[in-house]
Parts: sequence; C-alpha cells; structure tokens
Amino acid sequence: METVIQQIIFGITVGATYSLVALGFSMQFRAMNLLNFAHGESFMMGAFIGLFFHVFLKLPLLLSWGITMAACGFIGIIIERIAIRPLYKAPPLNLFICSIGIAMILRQISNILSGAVSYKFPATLSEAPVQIGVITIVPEQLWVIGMALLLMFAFEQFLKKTRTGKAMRAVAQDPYTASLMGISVLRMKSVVYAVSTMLGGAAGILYAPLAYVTFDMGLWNGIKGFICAVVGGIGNIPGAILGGFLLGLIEQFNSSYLTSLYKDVISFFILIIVIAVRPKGLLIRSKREKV
Amino acid sequence: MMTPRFKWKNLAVLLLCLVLALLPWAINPFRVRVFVLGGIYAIATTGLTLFMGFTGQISIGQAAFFGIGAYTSAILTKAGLPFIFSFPASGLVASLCGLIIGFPCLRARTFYLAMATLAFGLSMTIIFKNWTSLTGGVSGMGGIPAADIGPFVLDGFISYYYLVWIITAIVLFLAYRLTRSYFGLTLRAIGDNEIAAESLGIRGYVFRLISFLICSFLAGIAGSLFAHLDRVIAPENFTSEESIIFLSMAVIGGLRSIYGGLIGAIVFTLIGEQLRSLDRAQVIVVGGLLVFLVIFLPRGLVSFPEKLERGVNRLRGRVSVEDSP
Repeated sequence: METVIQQIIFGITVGATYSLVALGFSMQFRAMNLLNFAHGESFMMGAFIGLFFHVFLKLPLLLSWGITMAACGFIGIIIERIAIRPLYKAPPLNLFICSIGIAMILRQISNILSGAVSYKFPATLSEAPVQIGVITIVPEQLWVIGMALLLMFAFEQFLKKTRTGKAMRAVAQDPYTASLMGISVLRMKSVVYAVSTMLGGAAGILYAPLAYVTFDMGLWNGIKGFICAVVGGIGNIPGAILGGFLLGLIEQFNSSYLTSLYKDVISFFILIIVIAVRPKGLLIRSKREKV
Repeated sequence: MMTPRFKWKNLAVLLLCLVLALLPWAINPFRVRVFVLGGIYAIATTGLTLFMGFTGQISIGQAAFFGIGAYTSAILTKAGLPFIFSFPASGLVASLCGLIIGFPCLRARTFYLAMATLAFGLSMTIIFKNWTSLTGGVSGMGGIPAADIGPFVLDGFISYYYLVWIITAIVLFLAYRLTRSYFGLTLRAIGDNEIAAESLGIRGYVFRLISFLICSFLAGIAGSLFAHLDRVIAPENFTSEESIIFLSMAVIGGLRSIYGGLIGAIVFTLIGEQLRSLDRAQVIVVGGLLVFLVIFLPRGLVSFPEKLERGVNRLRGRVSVEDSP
C-alpha cells in the first residue's frame, strides 16, 4: 500500500510537468489553430536557461525562474513573429511543418551551445525521503507538484480575470467577432504563443531536477505533452491537465509493475486506444457534423 | 492554354529520364549512392503524397513502415529467400502492419491521426532496439545479402541505381494512373470535403484505409531496397526523426502533385549531402530551409514554375487569373 501511494505521488510529480506542456499545446491549438511541434523545445529552453542562471551565474532560484519565464516568453514572441505569423492564412499542415523546422533549429542550437553534455540541475528542496506516518515523501516532489498547481491556478486566473486573458479566450472562440470588438487578433495570437512558451519553460525548469538536462529532452517531453493534450481532447484546458496526470501515473505504474523497457510503448498504445475509441479525446464527445 | 504546357511537361519528363539514365556514368561512383538513396526515399515519399495529399490526412509514421520493410527483407534474405520474393513480402508485411495500426487509428483524422502515427513510429523504434533476437538490437543487422534477380547479383552501386530507379519509375507511373482513376478521384473528393463525399455514397473511412495501406506498402518496398543498399541496417535509420524527414520531403515537394514526393526526396537528399561538411550546423540549415520554403512556396516545389510564370506575367503587366488555393 505504501509503495502504491509513493508511486502515485511520483506519477503525479512527472504528470504535473506534462500537464504544463499540454496546456501550451492546447492553448495554441485552440487560439492559433497550430499544432506546434516546436513546443517541446520550450521545455528544453526553460531547463537550459534556468540552468544557466541558477547554476552557472548562481542567481537565487526564484529570480532565475522569473528570468527564465521572461526569456522564454520573449523567444516565443520572436519565433511567432518570424516564422508563424506569415502562415496564418496557409493550410494548418504548413504551419505544422514550419514548427518542425523551428524545432530542428532550436534543438540543434542548444546541442551546439551545450556541447551535447547532460547537466545535473540541483534539487530545490531536499531529495532525501521524509517519513510521514507510513508513507515516505520526497520534499522535492511536493515542490514540483505545488509549483505546477500554482502555475495552473495563476494561469486560470489570468484567463478568467484579466483583460488580456478574456481577449485570448474571445479570439480562441471566434476570431472574427473578437476583431469586431476591437481586439487585435494578431497581437493576441502572439500573446498566446508567448504565454504557452512561458508555461513550457516553467515546466522545463520544474522537471530539470527530476532528470538530467540534455539538448534532446524537448523532443520526448514535447511528444508526451502532445499525447496528454490529445488524450484530454486538444483545445480543452481541463482535459490537458487531466491528460498530464493520467500519463504520469500510467508511466509510473508501467515501469514499476510491468516493464520499464517498453514503458513508452505501453503509453503510446494507450494513446492509440484512446484515439480509436474516442477520436476527439476523452473529454470531448465527438458528434457527427451536420451539414 | 492547357495543351502546350502539357507538351512541355512531357519533354521535361523525357529529359529527366535521360539525365537519370546517364547520370551514374557521369559522376563519381560514390556519389551514385546518394542518388540511389534519393530514389528509395522518392518511393516512400510518393506513398506519403498519395495518402496525405489526396485524403488530406497526416502520417508521421512512415519511417516505421520503412523499417518494417527493411527488417522483413533483411531477415528473409538472410534466411535464404531470394530478393524477388522478399521484396514484395516486405511491402506486404508493412501494409499488414498498416492495416493493424490503421484499422483503429484512421477513425481519427488529421492531427489526432498524426499523433497516433507518431506514437506508432516511436514504439516501433523502441521495439527495433529491444527485440534483439529478431532485429539484432541497437547494433542492428549486418551481412544482408546483395539483391539478386535470377542470375544477376546487384552488388555495385551502379547496377543497384538502375534497379532502384526502374522501380521508382514504375511506382510513379502506377501512382499517376491511380490518381487519374476512379479511386484517385474518390480520394481527392474525400480530401476536399469528406462529408460531401459521404453524402454521395463514398465510404470515407474505407478509402482512407486503402490509401493508408498503399502508403505503407510503398514505404515497405522502399525499406527493402534500403536494406540491400548498404546491406547493414540499424534502428537509428528508422526513428521518428526519419519519419519527420519523409513528411518534410512530401510537403516541400508539394502534396497536390504526384511528382511532389519525387522532387522533394531528390532535393532533400542532395541538400543533405551538400551540407554534410557543416556537421552539426547542417540540421539548423535544413530546419531554416523548411521554414523558408513553407512560407514562400506553400504549395511545394512543384508549384515553383507556376509561381515563376505568374511572377513573369505580373512583370509584363498582365493580370493573371488567380487560381484557387
């Protein structure tokens, strides 16, 4: 029983970072009609920028957090301006291919800058397990879960309470009407890209102490974030969060009870089954379109 | 208007065939290998063009089918089966896998399908790496026999070049005929508007599945040709990065024309070879090209002459009729 609880906690820890990545995917899909293959790279950028400021420049953690998120948002704005914006009128497939190109560039730049070495990111709290009653808890995991939940909460408040957040939702719902109401759709899309890159970066810096920081971490985590977003129903924000936690738990139980070698294969098969049964994700009931 | 341009096209195809036929004698034998690879990729990419361009779906699993074909052919020929049998067998095994994966997944469309095929591709890489008894694990398989057709053993790059390009030409011809057939028109109708097509009594799912099977069959036979090229295969040849490269080739070439796959594959392979000296920066340049081409030639390289023509007309002050997107 105790081990099961620990597995659950660890699964939720990893799942929380997936959720943050999945949130970005969902938001970009909803507001920009963009399936962003480069989104996983924001995860990698977050981890590396955080590493640079926190470990090499020895800045305090929260300051490095702020700098990382700001830097990710800034890079997001630049990417959107150069590569994504010219393609809003093109078919969505072209945008997707374009994001593949962006992902290749970002990953390779970090490969060259990092020298293809993997780095260890120091844990924020202690990694030593603490015994509470019958269960053992690693404080670091609580920190990751707590921060992720805080970020999700802040994000939700941002969407619901602020003017920009409301405008973002308006653009996601109906860009044409939103533009009639005086909302600059282009600027909102740029904000969406920046915010989702920031969330991805934050997920990266959260995830960094759990594993090593490498230049190709973005690919796998991006794909997993992708899976979470799809499992929950892409474009659906609670779905993305649910998908993240589900995948984290499934992976954890897989690797401890079934086979760690094929753990990802099983996650992928779950995705395939979900897609087969519910072609539009768990939380979205697909209806026949009416003509 | 239509007729003269059509003749130009025929002439261009003829010239291209001639150049391709004489090419191996004109260049350094080692570089022939690059063109062989271009032909192999063209076959796999043509499959992708048929599936994606006509039905409007996305597949990021082409390298997995390519790998299944390569391993099938390698295992069968190492067991003593001649190449003539292992070649179609690899296509059949690949399309059988396509059936297994497409049967559930094709219920989903576009991005959901893209995800499912990507997941399939990633799983296949893990299986190729870990099913050591069958695939030789991470180090892959070596000592694959050379391709043989009856008494001829094609163990040189030049003879293999001709084999690959003859097969590529046959594939392209058949694919061209297919797109002009009832089947091709049906696919196009589904790609344009599936609901409208279904209201005419077309079963969208069935046709999408069939075109997915053709797509995986072509990837399988291309994989078989790949296995007998260097006669060594390893899981790293069939990763999802490779699938993404196939996808990029198809889109860069142009999805709306059956020649898009061919053009994309050749251009991509040649650029990759030219940039080899850049080492790690190569990927950056390729990525940049991808972004650039998608922005400035959204309908692929096949639309380049058209775009040029329109540009020239505009310079002359003639207003060209905007064709539909």
